[in-house]
Amino acid sequence: MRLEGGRELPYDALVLATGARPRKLSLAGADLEGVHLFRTLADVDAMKEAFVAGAKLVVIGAGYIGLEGAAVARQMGLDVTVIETAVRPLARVTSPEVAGFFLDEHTRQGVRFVLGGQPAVIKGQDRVRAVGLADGTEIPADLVLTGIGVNPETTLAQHSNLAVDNGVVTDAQCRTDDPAIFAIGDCANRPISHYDNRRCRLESVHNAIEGAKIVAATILGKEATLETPWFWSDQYDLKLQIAGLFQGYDHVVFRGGMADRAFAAFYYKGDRLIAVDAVNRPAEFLGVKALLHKRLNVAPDVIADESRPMKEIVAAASKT
Amino acid sequence: MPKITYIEASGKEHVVDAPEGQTVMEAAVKHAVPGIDADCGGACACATCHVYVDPDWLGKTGEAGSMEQSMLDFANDVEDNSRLSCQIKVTGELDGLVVRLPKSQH
Ligand SMILES: Cc1cc2nc3c(=O)[nH]c(=O)nc-3n(C[C@H](O)[C@H](O)[C@H](O)COP(=O)(O)OP(=O)(O)OC[C@H]3O[C@@H](n4cnc5c(N)ncnc54)[C@H](O)[C@@H]3O)c2cc1C
Ligand code: FES
Repeated sequence: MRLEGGRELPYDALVLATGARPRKLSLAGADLEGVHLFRTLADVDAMKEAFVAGAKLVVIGAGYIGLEGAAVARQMGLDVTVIETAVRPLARVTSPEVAGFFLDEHTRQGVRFVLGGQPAVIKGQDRVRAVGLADGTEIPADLVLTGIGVNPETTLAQHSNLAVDNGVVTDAQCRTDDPAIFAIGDCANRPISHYDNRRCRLESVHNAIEGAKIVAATILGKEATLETPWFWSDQYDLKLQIAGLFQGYDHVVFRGGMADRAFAAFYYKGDRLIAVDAVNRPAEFLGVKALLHKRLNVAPDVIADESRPMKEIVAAASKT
Repeated sequence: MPKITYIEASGKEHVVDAPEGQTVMEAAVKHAVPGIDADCGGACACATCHVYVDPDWLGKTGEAGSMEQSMLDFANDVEDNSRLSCQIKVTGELDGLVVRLPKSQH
């Protein structure tokens, strides 16, 4: 491995954990002062000064990052508008039902949404003044926060001629085509054992930690225990916890009600439980996480039965 | 600065200087105390920062909130004195706190 400046570091094993880079808007004006990306502590520090009560914030992108930003901004008294190209928020990451809940919640908190909106230009002289949409609408802005996804940082892997296809391609042990080189975290694309070895490039803390455990075990000639993917997102006083991968589900059943702001959505593919979105329902999250981890199943009518505590349902499934 | 003693399941002790305002989890992680995984970094989302608070200290650490309690319900080997260490803030009052760590967080 050669560093800039020419120094060489010999290795027996090399781990690429280069993460991902937030996508930049490719619009006129995207480089204006006041337009921010959101990845590192430095990014947050850079917007701190303008991030004050009364300031007009436009968030571009209604994924988890954008919505978490919107929630923090509302709690600090900013005036917030979220622009999303799709017709609903969180379209890539959750069901229409759960997305609808978050849309209502943010609306209730005073966030305005422009759904199906197409940002066309960022206007301003030295500093951002407004975001112009394709239909000619102008949304005034003192500050713009973009959360439009990330691209895996694979430059180094490409220079090393490793296979790259939406991330550095690895096997289940996180090994690239070069057996001495591993790739983990946001930059890597690996088969997920709990989901029929479907290839995924996951973007989560758990995925990064799990990759590290797999590589450490592999280098030591051991086998790591694989968990099912999981994630969380905090917005206002709502704690969303997700276990499993919901993609490919064909129906969803609920415990609890959205009106109580505490509910869980269980995703099924056929009669198989594949994921849960739990809002202020840690027991449902941890219960399903345990079930998926042990590759156990629970029928939809059983899981939807609120008269049975989650813990008991999990214990019963573990015995059969 | 308050001192906290972490005792691993094996009996090995780690005494750590914990700045006020940090959590009992953060102080352990910053000093690389083994046995606290803290996968979610303190968001009360993972239940991998489980500790047993020494019974003498239970009065001072306070009680688990409802979210924390539901998370603890699913941790391994939970006892009456179980807490998630990311939910305990270090204060001057906690100088001398002793917590024990479970065999495993997973
Ligand atoms: C605002 C925000 C909120 C999030 N919230 C959550 C959440 O609630 N739950 C959750 O599970 N996940 C969340 N995530 C996602 C999570 O942070 C990432 O999935 C995780 O950090 C990925 O870890 P990583 O180690 O792969 O990459 P990173 O954490 O991005 O680390 C990669 C590091 O490599 C460095 N690097 C890159 N290229 C090179 C090079 N050539 N040489 C040397 N160094 C290099 C980078 O500078 C960076 O420091 C959030 C992310 C963001 C941005
Ligand atoms: S660190 Fe995750 S719950 Fe405490």
